[in-house]
Amino acid sequence: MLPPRVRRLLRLDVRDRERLAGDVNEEIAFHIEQRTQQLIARGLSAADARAEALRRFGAAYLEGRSIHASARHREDHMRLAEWRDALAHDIRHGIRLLGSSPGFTAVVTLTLALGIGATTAIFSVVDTALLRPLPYPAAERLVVLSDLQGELVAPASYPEFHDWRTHGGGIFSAIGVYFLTQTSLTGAGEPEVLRGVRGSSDVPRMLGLTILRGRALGPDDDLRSSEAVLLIGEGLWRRRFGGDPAVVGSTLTVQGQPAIVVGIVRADARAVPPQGLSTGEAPEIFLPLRLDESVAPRGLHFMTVLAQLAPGVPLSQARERLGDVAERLRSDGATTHGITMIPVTERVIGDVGGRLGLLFGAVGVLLLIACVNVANLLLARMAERHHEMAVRMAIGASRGRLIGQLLVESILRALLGGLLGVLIAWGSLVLARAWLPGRVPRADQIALDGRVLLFAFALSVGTGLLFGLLPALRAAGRDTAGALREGARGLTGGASGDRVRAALVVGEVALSFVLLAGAALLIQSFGRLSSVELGFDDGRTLTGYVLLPSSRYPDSTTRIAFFDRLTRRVASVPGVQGVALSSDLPVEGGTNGGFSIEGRTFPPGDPPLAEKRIVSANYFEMLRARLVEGRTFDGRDVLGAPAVMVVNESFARLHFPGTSAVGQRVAFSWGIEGMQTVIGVVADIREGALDRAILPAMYVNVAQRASDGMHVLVRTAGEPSAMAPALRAAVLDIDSALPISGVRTLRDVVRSGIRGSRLSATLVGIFSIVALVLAAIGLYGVISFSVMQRRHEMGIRTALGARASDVLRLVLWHGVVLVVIGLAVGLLLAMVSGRLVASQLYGIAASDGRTLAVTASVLALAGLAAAAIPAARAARTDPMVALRAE
Amino acid sequence: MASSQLPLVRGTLDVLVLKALSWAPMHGFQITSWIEEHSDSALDVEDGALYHALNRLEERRLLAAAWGVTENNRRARYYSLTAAGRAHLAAETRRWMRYAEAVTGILSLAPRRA
Repeated sequence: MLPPRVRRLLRLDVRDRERLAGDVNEEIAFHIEQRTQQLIARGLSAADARAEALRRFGAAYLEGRSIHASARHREDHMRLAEWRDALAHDIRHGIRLLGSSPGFTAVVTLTLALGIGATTAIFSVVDTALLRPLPYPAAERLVVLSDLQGELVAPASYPEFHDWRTHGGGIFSAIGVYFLTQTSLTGAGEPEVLRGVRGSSDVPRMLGLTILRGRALGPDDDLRSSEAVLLIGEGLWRRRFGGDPAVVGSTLTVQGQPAIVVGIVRADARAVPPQGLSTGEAPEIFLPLRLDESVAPRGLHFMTVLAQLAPGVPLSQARERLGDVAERLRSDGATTHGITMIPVTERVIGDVGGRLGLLFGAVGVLLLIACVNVANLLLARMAERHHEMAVRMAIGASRGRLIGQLLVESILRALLGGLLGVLIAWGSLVLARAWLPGRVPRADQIALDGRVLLFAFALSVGTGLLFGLLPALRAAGRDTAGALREGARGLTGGASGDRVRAALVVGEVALSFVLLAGAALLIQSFGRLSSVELGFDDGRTLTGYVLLPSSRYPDSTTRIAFFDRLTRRVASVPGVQGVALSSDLPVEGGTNGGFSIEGRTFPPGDPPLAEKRIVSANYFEMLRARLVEGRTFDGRDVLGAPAVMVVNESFARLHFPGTSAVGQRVAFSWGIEGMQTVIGVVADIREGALDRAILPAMYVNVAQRASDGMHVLVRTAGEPSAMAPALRAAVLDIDSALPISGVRTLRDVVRSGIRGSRLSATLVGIFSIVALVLAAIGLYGVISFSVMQRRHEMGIRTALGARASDVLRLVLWHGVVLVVIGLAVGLLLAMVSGRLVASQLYGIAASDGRTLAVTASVLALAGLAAAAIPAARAARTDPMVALRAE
Repeated sequence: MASSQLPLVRGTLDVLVLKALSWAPMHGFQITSWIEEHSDSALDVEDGALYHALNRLEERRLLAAAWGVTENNRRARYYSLTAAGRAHLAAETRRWMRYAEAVTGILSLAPRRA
């Protein structure tokens, strides 16, 4: 018996509502007519009989709850049920199909799993880092204000914050300032350096920090005249104080000074928007501002100004009004600087946004290649299934029905690939979590959660539709009779099928070219970045940071004495070849500020800027920096002796072009008052980030002006990290209450600056290799398929006297043509997409000719190899076998 | 005439329709006539209700419908029982019998004297 579905196919057109209504009317009319005739036969008059027939039918059924409605309901329901049945059938059929050709299924699944898995993994990173709203209350209204000096964006100075707060009324509903700080905690227990925040009292509120115990900070706490108080993080509270509630109200020794703990901040404390430190870090300690202009003058740019836009003030309007404020401040003569403002999201995301965007684009291209490849495989296979399609059509399946069935198959394949892909993504995320923190915002929160799984599911379905549509349309678009005949002859495909597959391979080659070229550019960019002239030797050097509490080391004399002792103590450790000090580590960047030069005038409030470093006398010698002119520090340059400084070549070139910098006198309002004489010029040392221009730099001697916090650099004879315990011991030996933090090798410091670049290069490199393999497989598939189809032709050619080399050349030529067209299209695409990559490149142009040429050669070689295998097979074909097979 | 007729107990129309069709495929009027004939006109089937029932049963795939031609060459919609309809009829018949037996048994009890 035929299933109802098939019988209904032979019946009325279910789609046609009007026709359905007509049918129902006809049925009712027929019934009433029959009833009338029956009643007339029983002796009623024609009129009475009709009235009685209508009565017996029931007026209600002709109107309100009419038969029409129930018939419509029936049709809808049945159509849905049919659709469901068809789907269930297709799914069952699809699953059988997956199992019936395990080899094909494995290839397709693996291809898709790579594409979907990689895309899902990157998506989860992008989603966590970029797409989700930041955890701050009203995060969309939170902005960061910075100082603007021409093109240069700098942190704000304290007086600037003051100006902006005074004049920003109406623009902002709240405005605060903070900076990240390292603070020593001493007293009971092991001394330690805490990373925390010093800021005005409204900053915790703007960041949505909740107080677990005690109270929040208030405006009075910001005044220097108030009692010193602080908040501690829940983490520190539990770790160091065992969660003792009595800590609130107790006094801690912070930076050598007593301060009362007034509150504990909940552990979910949102990370503070970054300011040079790694992101996603919750502060362990929160100190009130307690600053004024005497300690934080206008020339000192080190603070982040955080503000909340007033309700109803859009960003554009706020910018405009802030521009007016800057204009007024300039015309008042308070400053020559401007103000810039960016949403806090931009600040948090930073340049990671561009990098992740690039990766997402790259992985998207990879997925597209995977789709093209699978589409190609399916097309080839569809040719084999042509007979099946023809038979189905012949027994009455509609074209739509066949396309539907084929799409269901594709989606099933994609879901299978997606399932494996999610496993791949899960695996990569386990690796990524261990590797990413500090490089990507909120990396610790990256997970395969519901959102990501939903994305993977939608991606799989979309992928299935994408790669399945073309093969489905082609398979169901054939004329059945022809297909049946062709099928009977065992011939498959056809000229137009070849063209479609060839076009797909061309696309695949083109996309692979784009990925390969991108990878090649990023790898070279990374190579250039890692071979940037450092200006110093980063080998076998261990670094660590010591921060002196101002209570026990209140002045330069005591600090100089400490660092002098420390240097000698560490130098005496066996295996240590040299010890130097610096206020900031190379490559990491540090403090910069304004200065003036004797005999020149600069506009007030707008002095020239330079990097400032406090270093020990042997800093240059130990880092093997080259002395260009004059001398470096020596025993003469001590406290009380004439103040001297060393500048770098960039400084000398910029400010003393054509003359010698040595002997010139420079002053800055930082530590040493008055003029300082330049005694030497050193070759540029990379004090700032590797991909930025080298800034002018000034070095002063630690023996003349010691900072309270210094980095210790230790050159070792052997493996530097092995010296870490000895370095710690040396510090404790001199001051048992003093912690040393951030102990790592100088090479690690340098490397951490280029990790992002390495991440892009590595990932895009991996993607491009996968793409290359996929493209080669695709090309191989198309060529070998066409060889199979042309076996007969080859046989005839050979029989007519063509040599094996002729056949080989013929087939290879086919491959070469496809690859060359693909490369041409790819080159075009690479030119267009080059601008997107350009911002991620260092020291190489996106249109670098050599790179593109090498990429093209690699791809051409891979393509040739992929075509050579079927070509060789074709050349070996025995004409008799080929001809007999027909 | 109306007073002698019994209104249908809810849900019994479906079973009666299935029963009618278990004899042969019929169009709507034939089904009504069949029920009238075999109940000696004791059951009051409203004609409209029959078509609702037919739609309902077709929707549940207990029936299949197709346009056919009567002896008088008129176009009519013929309903036939599907396999599922047949099984449903058998099950419903058993259920009805047990139900009727139980109710009859209770109602036939002689009142006990105190």
